[in-house]
Amino acid sequence: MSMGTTAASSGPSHGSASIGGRYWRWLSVAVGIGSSVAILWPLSWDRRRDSFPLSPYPMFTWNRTHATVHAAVGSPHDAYRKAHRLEPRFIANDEVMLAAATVRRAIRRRGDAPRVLCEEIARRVAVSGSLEHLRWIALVSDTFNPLDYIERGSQASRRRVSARCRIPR
Amino acid sequence: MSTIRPDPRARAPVQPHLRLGVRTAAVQRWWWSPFPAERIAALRLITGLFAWVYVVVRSPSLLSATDFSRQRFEPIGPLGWLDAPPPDFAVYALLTTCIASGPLLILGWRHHVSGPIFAFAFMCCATYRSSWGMVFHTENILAIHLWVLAIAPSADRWSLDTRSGRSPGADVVTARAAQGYYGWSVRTLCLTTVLTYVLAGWAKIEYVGMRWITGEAMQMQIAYDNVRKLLSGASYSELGMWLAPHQSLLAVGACLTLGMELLAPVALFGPRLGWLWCLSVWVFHVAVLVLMAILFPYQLSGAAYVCFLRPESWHRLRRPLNRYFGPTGDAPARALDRCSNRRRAHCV
Repeated sequence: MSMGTTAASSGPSHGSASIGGRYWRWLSVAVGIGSSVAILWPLSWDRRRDSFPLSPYPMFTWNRTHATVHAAVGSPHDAYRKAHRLEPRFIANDEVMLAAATVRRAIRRRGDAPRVLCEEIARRVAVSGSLEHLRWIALVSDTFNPLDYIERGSQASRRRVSARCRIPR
Repeated sequence: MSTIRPDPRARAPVQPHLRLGVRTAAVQRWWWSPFPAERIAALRLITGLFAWVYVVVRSPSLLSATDFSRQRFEPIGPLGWLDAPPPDFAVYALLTTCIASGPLLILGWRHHVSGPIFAFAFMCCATYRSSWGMVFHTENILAIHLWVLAIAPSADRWSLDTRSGRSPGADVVTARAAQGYYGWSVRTLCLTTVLTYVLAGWAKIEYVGMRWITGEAMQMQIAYDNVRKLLSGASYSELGMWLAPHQSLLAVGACLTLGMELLAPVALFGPRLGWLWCLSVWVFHVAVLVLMAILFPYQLSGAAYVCFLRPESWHRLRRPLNRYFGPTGDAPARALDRCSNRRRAHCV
């Protein structure tokens, strides 16, 4: 695979065997062009597509006027206006943004996905033995203007509940 | 014993060897620059060490994904062909392979095998981590750089292959360096880095356009990202929250960011331009960290940009490596130092 251990120069012989041999220059051109084309390939992708290790780097390219923050919340009653926001370890692992993305994906998928995630979170809360005062879990989406939130501390203009389930205690 | 060889870089300019026409002669000279073998070897050591430490530190996060519900698995990239998450033992085996092969790449032990194994295992581990609903963009360049280093002749110096005689001797390496045998791989690392930033800049132009230049898009992005993190319980930036309402200030930053990304190819036109661009892009990543609490470890550590510099001439790196790896390692690097001391235009 490596050209390093076997390829020799295309010029005068220096006493080393070669696989790239006289073609190492062509191979290096192929690697250079191939890697460049691969990196630029995402230009032709659909905007919503992202991947790894190739990516169109869409992180900062969305026209945002309102922010929707998805979260998993817990409540002692089947009401979620002032519910307790759950820690990421109940949703995915200790990575906060991964937990947020997990909730967002489940809500956007619709169908059974929100309910399945809700029940999974409820089981984790039950097993953990903490948050004893909570009885219900819900996946909620808060929509607001982030600049208004920063400047005036305004609350979410809308809270939508996508799934709710009881904690199996 | 070390033998001082003539400086390959001080020789007459390398003649292009592919008959692609007169117009490509300058490009060919650039592509096959007579860089010493120590440069790509130093890049192997630095990038490999960073990647290995990164994998070890991130391994708990990677393994925690084995507890996730199967329904959450959204495979991407090299794992896109999977219908279901790989079994736990496969993930453990992959991570073990990655952690075990990392030191082999760093030390350059049978590089033609250990290099591709580590690059492949790292790519699969990183892809697996990004296959659970959130694509992390912090490891893309690192994964690509590892592949280039794995394919390139990066273990002809400062490696166990050199110590054991599996690599070619000093005279062969010196002659190869003069012909640009090690130059193209350094150029490929630089090229892939630069193109990544051009792509990110182009995406801003294509999708956000004038709203980015006026600072509006960046303002909303910083506000959205910080509020989202604040409400999610993640680390957020107080400075970003304070700065978000000031669109005119952010417009300056947005234009500088776009310029830095779209003009990235200037870094390929010379060492000083390369150094300046590296500094500017590093400052950009510091700003991203300070204003949005987003950490790009490979970029912020500086390891991503070492390919634009001359790491083989750093005494603190060179001396221990020469001492450990062997008797033939320092001739071209010493010659390079003499070359750089004289500030000769054709040295880099």
